[in-house]
Amino acid sequence: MTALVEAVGLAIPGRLAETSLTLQEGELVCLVGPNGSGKTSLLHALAGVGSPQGEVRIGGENPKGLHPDRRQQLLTFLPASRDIRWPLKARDLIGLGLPEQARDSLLDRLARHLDLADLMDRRVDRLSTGERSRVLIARALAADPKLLLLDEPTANLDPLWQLRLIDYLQDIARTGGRTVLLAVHDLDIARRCAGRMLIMSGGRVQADGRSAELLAGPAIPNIFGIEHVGGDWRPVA
Amino acid sequence: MRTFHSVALAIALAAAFLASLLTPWSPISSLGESLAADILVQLRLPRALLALTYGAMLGASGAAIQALFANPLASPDLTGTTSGAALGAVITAYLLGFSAPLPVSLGSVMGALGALALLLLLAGPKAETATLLLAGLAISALAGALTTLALALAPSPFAFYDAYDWLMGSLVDRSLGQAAFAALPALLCIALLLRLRPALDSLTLGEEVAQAIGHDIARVRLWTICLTALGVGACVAICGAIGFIGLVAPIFARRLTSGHPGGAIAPAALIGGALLLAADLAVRTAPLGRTVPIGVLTALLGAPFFLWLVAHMRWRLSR
Repeated sequence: MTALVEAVGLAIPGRLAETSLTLQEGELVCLVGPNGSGKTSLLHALAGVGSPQGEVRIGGENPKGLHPDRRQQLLTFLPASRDIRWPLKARDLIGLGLPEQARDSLLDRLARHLDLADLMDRRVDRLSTGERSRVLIARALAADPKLLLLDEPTANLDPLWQLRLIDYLQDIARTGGRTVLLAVHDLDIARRCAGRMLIMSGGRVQADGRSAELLAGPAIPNIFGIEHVGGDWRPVA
Repeated sequence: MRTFHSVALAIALAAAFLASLLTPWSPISSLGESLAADILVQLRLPRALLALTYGAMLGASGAAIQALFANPLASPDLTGTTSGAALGAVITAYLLGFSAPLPVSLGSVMGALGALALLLLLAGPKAETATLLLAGLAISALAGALTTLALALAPSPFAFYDAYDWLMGSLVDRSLGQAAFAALPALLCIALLLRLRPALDSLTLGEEVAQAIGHDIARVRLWTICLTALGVGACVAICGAIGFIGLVAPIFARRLTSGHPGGAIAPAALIGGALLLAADLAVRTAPLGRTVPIGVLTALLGAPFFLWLVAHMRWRLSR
């Protein structure tokens, strides 16, 4: 595997301590941590949201100052908020700011995979939160970038959609060579993703390793205050 | 926007402009050639130009402000921009007289900037509809009260009458020079607002996504506010406050642009220009014996539309 993302000295004062990180091409990385541990801040810093310090290179290219069309081929960011108040049809929302070349084949595939056919002509501000999530996920994936930064993509989704989304992300990582970094709350989703996992706490990455090992190790009880006993999560006694 | 729509809009605008120049027809046909030319160039051209550019400016800035606040109910008059501009202009006019267009324009632009800055401060950049409208209402009320105070403290009855007449919004008896004073800044501002289109569109997806796509949102916000204040302020300085075009034009425009808020700027400008030309024609040809100020007509038609819009939104929300 080759390194796709190299981030050096990333920091957001008060939210994210100085962090350097390398992500490989074709890997799906889960980002877990308690509320307020800095997951969103790390995604923000990588996506260039809110003028973070440090430097990010994606495939050797610095996304800072690039034209939006070019930049969207490098990275995408799905925010945790699914709040869209503008009265737009789902189809038009997905097309917003999307580079021309991205619109056709991938959109069809996404629409099929996320079952958007019935939603496309409805207004996003009138969809349920879960339906709107699927539309926003489609928008986030539609430009087919090299790096996908997804904040809680499985939130608000039914269990079936959660599984289908994770499968899809695994597929575009493995066969498409895309790099996916997703923040998740649910440790069972992190387990299902397998692969690499980062555990954050207090604005810094505390553990970085294979998810199976980290989930079984001392980091989870130490940081989350829970342990895996008899197939279920319980508070540490 | 489809080509068909653009062409139809452009034709409607050109027709309204021509109608404004040629109505009524009798003085042009009956008077001598040179007198007719004078009427056309000295009287009607400034009026038509002002209606066109002021309407276009209101439409474009309404669309831009709505996109900026991610709120389809924002507009220069509901956010207090127009009343701020009017206050700034009245105060400067008292000090220097209405015949000094540059200082009055500057005062008007400063008033508009002040109102928009106060709105951002009070309501925040991503205000809920209720907060935005309340803050806008408060700013409008404050600016309105201060304008009334300024009227009450008028240095002379003439100054009072001048200011009062101007406040009701009028395109009558403006010279070509005055028209240029409003039209040039307005056209420049519309052209510059059009450049912000992609960034304003992406704001619909949320500020974080817009930044991740690569737009400098702080800069876009500053530009939008300065450009709308400059353009609207320049027009208010010459013609007084004219309401509701900035709210109505973008709503029609978005029907032509798949609802994209930034993409609506250009059609909103065309629709705004056509609407104000039509309103001016209506004011001129209405058989009322005397001329109704155009600001009164747009408010008379616009306010019920706004009420309908609020009721419509409430009905939609309660479903």
